[in-house]
Amino acid sequence: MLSAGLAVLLVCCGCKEKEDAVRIGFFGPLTGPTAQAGQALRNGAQIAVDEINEKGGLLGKPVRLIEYDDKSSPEQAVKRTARLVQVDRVTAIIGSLHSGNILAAAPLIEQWKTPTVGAGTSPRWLQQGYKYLFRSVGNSALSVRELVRYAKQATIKRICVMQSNDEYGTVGAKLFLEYAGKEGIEIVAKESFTHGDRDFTGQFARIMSKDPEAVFIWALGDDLGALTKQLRQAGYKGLVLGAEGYTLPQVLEIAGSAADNVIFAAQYLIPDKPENAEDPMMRSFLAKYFEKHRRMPPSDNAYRGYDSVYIIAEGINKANSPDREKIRDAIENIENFKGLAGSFSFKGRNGEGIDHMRFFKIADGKYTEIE
Amino acid sequence: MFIKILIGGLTLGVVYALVALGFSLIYRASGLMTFVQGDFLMLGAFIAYTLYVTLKLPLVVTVIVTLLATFVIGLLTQKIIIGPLLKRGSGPIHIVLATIGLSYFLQNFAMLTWGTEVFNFPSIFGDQPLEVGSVTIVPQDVWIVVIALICMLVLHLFMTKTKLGTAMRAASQDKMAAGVLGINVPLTEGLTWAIAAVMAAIGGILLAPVHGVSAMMGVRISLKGFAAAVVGGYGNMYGAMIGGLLFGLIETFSSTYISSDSKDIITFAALLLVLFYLPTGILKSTIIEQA
Repeated sequence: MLSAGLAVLLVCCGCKEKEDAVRIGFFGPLTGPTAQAGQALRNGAQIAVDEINEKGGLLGKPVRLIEYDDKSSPEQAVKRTARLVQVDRVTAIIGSLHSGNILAAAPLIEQWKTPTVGAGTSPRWLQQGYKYLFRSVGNSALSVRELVRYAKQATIKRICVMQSNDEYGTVGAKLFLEYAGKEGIEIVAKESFTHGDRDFTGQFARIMSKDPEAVFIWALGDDLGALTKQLRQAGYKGLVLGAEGYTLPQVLEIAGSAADNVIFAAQYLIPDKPENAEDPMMRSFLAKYFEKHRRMPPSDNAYRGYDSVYIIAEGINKANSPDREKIRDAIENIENFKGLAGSFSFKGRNGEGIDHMRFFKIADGKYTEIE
Repeated sequence: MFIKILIGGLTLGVVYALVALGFSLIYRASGLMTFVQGDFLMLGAFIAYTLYVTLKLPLVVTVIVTLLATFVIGLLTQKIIIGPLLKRGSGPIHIVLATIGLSYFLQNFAMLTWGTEVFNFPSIFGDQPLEVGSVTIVPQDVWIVVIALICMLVLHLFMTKTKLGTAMRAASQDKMAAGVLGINVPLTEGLTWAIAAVMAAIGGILLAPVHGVSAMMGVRISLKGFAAAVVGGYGNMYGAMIGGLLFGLIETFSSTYISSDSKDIITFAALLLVLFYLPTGILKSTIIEQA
């Protein structure tokens, strides 16, 4: 009885060892407050994996996604990454949408030489000189710079800043102050709040007392709806220069007409149905997403997940080898590779692949692209 | 600007006060600390959301059913968890652990039932700002303050003018003597938890259109409600109201006139200062004598 059980166990261990697939790891928040965005990232990646498998996989083998929940915590991200590189021995990794989690896992990724494409937008984790990290979306510095450029063109001189006091908000506000300073734009007030806080009376009263020409709001998507609504309730009617998170359909739903006159820079939007996407590639992706999940992606992280897998696949195809160092070099050499976010070129840019953004304005509860 | 901030501070303050009331009522009645007040608030908001937004029931029905449901939930908490634990010899510290456990359970229950995102609750009293003279006022903020104050007044009248309220107060002072006098002590104990849950649920319904509804919405408010109850005088009903209002006002005014970066630090520092001068809180704490 015991030996029979052992035999089954051995056979099973054997089949796992011999499983002939290209394994791609994934860590991101699948439960907890940012679970929706994390699941969108995973779902997007899975659709790309399915597409690749339909066309015969990579290196003649099927691709398999091994996913772990990092619960939005850097500590969990490190544990999950350790498992991915040491136990699962994955060929490449798709990293969390939390920049802090990628930063925490980066030393392990470097040590195990595992090419990783991350979805977080903070510039920081690509400024540490790591060789195996890449990003599948434009970084937030780019978005901030575009907003400053817009403000300059519109000859706006007095701006108030409202930021969340976490990594994302702090880095964004710091960059904004730096770029705006260079353009001679005056920051007349700088206010902050804690992620998840829902009362901004004091902050907005101060902002109102400075009578700004524009308000720069830098925070994650789940705070933006409440922020925008209360800013308008405080009596502010002017222009809002907003964070990338304004692409989330949830923000428009919560803020309603308060979101009018918000301008932001981002790579892409989520249309209300697949047919309304302009780009054919995005239309086909959204159609598949909708068919599989019976809803539109709740976050643009779905796009980032999809692009991440294709960047890795392109690297594997170019390297034509499962060797992780060769794949890393191949990704580094990718040029003009079309993804949902636009055209990726990684050569000599420390893992950044995209350097252009689009401007969107919200009016009558709808997005319009502006020049 | 002053009036705007005053209303903002009061709006927060009355909700803290509603939560603080639950902490104080329970402590006064049984010398126990609870950590599920914030989750009762969250449950109230979610039940109201389900009835009003998902099932599209009229507002009056929504409010009545929500309050009844949370009343029963509060009652059951005492009858199924707290009461039996006490009977088996659990002390106050074990009840603290039990309520922390229940709190985690309710949060995860909400995540599994409703999801992890923030749900939008449509405004009931209007969230478009009105210009009154030079001030912009949001009608729902004013309504929140008015309704919460009325609820507190009703609670005050119930506790002082009705037989049941008097019985509850008597039972909280001396269980045995109250029992000898024919007061149904198990009933008053259950009732205390039920009223605490209802107070928190009212806070949840009032806050839902402003903050949105989410599984974790009670966590932060619970902490501040607890602080308000302590500073007001733990176990004192009126202290909880004063503590809550004070907390909301300090928080809002300090973030306007001092710094929003250190709002929470300043608020808690101010409360510490109050405690140094009035070590048992602003009003007299009711300390339960342990037998």
